[in-house]
Amino acid sequence: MAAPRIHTIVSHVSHGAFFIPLVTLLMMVSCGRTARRAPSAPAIGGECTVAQVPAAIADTLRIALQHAVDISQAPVPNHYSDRLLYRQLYETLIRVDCTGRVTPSLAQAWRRKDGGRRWSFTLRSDARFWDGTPVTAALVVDSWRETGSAELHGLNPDSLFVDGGRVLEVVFARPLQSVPSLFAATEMAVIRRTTGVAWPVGTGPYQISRYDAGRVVVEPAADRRGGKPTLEFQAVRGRDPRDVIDDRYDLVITSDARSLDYAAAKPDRDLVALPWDASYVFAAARAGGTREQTADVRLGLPVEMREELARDAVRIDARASTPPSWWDQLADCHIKPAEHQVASERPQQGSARIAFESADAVARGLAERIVALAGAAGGRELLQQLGVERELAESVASGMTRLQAVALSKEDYGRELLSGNSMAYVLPLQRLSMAPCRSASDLVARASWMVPSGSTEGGATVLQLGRVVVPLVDTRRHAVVYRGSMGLAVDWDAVPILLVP
Amino acid sequence: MNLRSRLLLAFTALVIIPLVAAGAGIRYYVGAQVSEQFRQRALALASVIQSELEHEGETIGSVLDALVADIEADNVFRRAALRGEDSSRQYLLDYAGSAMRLGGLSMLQIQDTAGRIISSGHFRNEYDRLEPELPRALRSEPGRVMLASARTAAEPFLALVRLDSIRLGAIGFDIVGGVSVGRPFLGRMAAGQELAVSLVYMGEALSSDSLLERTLTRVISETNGSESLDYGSLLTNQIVTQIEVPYLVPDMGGISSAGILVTHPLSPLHELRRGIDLWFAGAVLITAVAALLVATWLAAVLSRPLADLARKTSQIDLDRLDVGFESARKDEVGTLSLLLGSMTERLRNSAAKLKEIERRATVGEIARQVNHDIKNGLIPVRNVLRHLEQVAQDDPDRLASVYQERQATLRSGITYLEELAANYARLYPRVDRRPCDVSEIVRQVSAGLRRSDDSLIDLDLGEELPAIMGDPVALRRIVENLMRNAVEALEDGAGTVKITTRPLGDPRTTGVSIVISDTGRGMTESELESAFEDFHTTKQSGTGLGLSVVRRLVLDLNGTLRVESEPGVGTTFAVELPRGDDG
Repeated sequence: MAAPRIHTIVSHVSHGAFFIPLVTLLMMVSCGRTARRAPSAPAIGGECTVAQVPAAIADTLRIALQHAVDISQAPVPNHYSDRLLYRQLYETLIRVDCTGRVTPSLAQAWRRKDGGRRWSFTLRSDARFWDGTPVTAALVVDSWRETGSAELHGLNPDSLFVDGGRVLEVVFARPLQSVPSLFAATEMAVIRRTTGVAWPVGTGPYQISRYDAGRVVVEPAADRRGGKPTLEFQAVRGRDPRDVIDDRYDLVITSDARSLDYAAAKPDRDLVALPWDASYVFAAARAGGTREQTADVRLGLPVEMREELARDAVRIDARASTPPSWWDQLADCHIKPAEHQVASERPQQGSARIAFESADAVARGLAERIVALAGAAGGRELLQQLGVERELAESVASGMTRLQAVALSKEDYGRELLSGNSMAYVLPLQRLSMAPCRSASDLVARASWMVPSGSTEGGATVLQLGRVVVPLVDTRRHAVVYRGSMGLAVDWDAVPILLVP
Repeated sequence: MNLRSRLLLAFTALVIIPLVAAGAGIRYYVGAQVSEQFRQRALALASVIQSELEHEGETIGSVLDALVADIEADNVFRRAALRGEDSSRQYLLDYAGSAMRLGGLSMLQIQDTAGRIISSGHFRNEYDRLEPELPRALRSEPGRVMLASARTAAEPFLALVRLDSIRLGAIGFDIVGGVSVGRPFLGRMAAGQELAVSLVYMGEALSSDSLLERTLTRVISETNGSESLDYGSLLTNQIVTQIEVPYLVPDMGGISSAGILVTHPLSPLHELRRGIDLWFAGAVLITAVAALLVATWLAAVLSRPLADLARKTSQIDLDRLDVGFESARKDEVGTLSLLLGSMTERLRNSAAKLKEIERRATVGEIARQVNHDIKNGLIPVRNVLRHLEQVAQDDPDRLASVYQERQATLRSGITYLEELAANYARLYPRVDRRPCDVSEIVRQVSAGLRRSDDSLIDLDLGEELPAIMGDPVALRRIVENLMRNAVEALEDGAGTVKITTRPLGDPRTTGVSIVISDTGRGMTESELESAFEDFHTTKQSGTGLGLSVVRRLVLDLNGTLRVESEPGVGTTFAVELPRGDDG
């Protein structure tokens, strides 16, 4: 039986052409370890090409999606499956690969002006929508306006200028030294809505030919066929990933340890560890004393404890969360605090809750381990390191207050997180962000109590999420590829792009 | 108290009181029997639970035995437990969870000799925690199943636990396994019966019945969690049987005891009693109604003839002794009727005799009166005669003139005597019986009656009246006296006198009734009482013998005379005359 080939990605820092937080974050991408076996071979081809393009390819490739996709919402993603699909269909101005290197996409060139306040993008001359319409700068602006993605990233419509047919200029409030990586964010992809079609028309090499519940079939765009296969994306939510692997899917992306073990034993499958893309953090809602107690208690768990959590408490490929993270790089972000508060069920007196989403096994393992440790020797110090206020930490450690790990449904968890009624929460965050301010804004919208009171400046708040969010472990997914079926290259957010001849 | 009330009370005493006594007796007897049944059921379930606990202990023991054998054969476990190999670390941590689920346990933790948890099934991520107290306490009573509190990340639960041990290489391991003793467990024990199974331990309570659990929690908190509570007396409306189970309190360094309470609510008994009460109340009500109806019927059967007798008796007086007391009944009422009839007959005879005596006395009185009156009337006559004799002897020439002088006195005396004679003649008429037409007599009297223009005599005379056997003069005197009195009673001669004649309806007393009513001044009660006395009169020219004569004449005809009068309204005389014998 042939041993499966397992690839890891070796990142290279592209100096001087990248957004600083992203660079620092991407430094950690290479620190990951494979799930079950030591690396057997270096990356094939480019650093981000994790599966080499085969010489011959099947007419149809089947790709499993963990979630059903609502294509009408494209290109704004809700989950990883959306990103995987949209990455094959829609193009952004630029691309950022797994090493952080910026490469052309819809824009073939860009230029810094006015000391970095103004950036000019020149569109590819042969860029066409699927229906043959040439892509112009005006249509790019229209696309962002329609999806609202520009405003999501703080780009005022007045700051977008069209210079001729193919040149788009963007003016920023503050000068940027490197090309703004936000233009590589999935939601910034360029689309156009046309009548009679249920999904947005894109500019990528593939276009949608059929779409029904849980199944999306895409085919090469008319002008780009040349032997490209048809791609069939099928939602497999609820099925055992091992069954999906047995079902001869050409690409299955999963983090399930048992499934990876299972796939590793199959001689016709290759396992590819994708970059660390998620961080599980602990956020203490009753963190009123956190900032005051930092004088004698250092917020954050020791690396040994984080490693122990990654090794023993969770059952997927994990490592100790490694700073810095995007939430530590928010000095330039001013967030308007959310005004709404949602009433939620108060925990019983005499108990404190660590809430997590019931479907998230990693969050469950971490929450339960913290409950176990809190009741053992050193529990008080642990809780204080996690940001729990001193009195509550002492009460829990002494047994006066019973600490509970509480699993909540997605909806209940959303309400609970918004209300901040639980003592703390274990939640996953995207580890990398092309737009940290935008990510911070999204997080605060989910948990308004994370904005500390009294720190507003002129109605806006300088976020210091690093004083609320305590990172625990990083996790990553693995791609299970049917050997010789396709090549894969991985972008900054651990989303692969299919490579075909 | 009337007869109906007496009968009702009698029925109450005779029927309802025994019924109440029977109901109370049934209620008490059923209550005692059902309570005993409940107690027996609670005891039986307690016995079953005791067996179940032992069975659970054996089951846990067999699962732990199998687990020990499995661990001994498991090299991955051995490497992870003895050498701490990283590659087997996850396997070790997950081992207890898998084994627990496969073994059907709710709790399983594997600890090394120091008490460090190396694998926990119910709290997977509690690994490395030091907890030597639990295996130590279990080891103190080998093979025994006990209750212990098991931690989880969410909330602790109570488990029935048992200990087993294994040695791998030089290291010994304790395996503590158990099953959850929560509400589902207790509910399974209760087996869906009316019985409830509860567990009380360390100031807390669990029960298969949520309401009972709240009650127990309240009772325990009110008694400050005292360990030795008599739940039988604390739980009202429950039959309680208690089983003691050892309870491990590792933190407190020893073994305490928990109580499994098997309770049977008395509410079904109360319900039964309510049902009995309801049916009994219904029976009493029905009985009372029946008693009331029977009493009413009996009272009617008994009292109606008595009331009839009382009414007839009240009609009896000397002028009305013709009341009949005939009865066909053979009972006491019939006897009483016959006795009263007999008494009335005797009274009638006595009255006749009395009337004769009275008549004779009256005649004697009249004779004395006549004697007196005649003597008085003769005195002036005698004096005139003596005067004339004296004149004739002494001075015959003046005889004529003296006669002329005394002639008026003489005639006056004679007139007085004639009137006196006439009056007395009316008091004692001669009886000459023959058939008389009463209506005709009334018409004749009415025609000759002197009256004023303002008065009206209204005749309502019945047709085909039976002829009355009697003296037509006496009948005429009866009618004439009553009609004259009526006319004279009219104030200033104005008003109406109405005379009605009718045949009497009763065939046994066939006769004629004569009713004479006027709208005159009427009589007072005292006047009415003495109206029939001789020589009593309210008129200036009356003799006071009219009504007295009428009364005697009516009695002579075996008739009755009644009078009703009201001052200012008028007077009514009713005469009823029997037809009398033809012979």
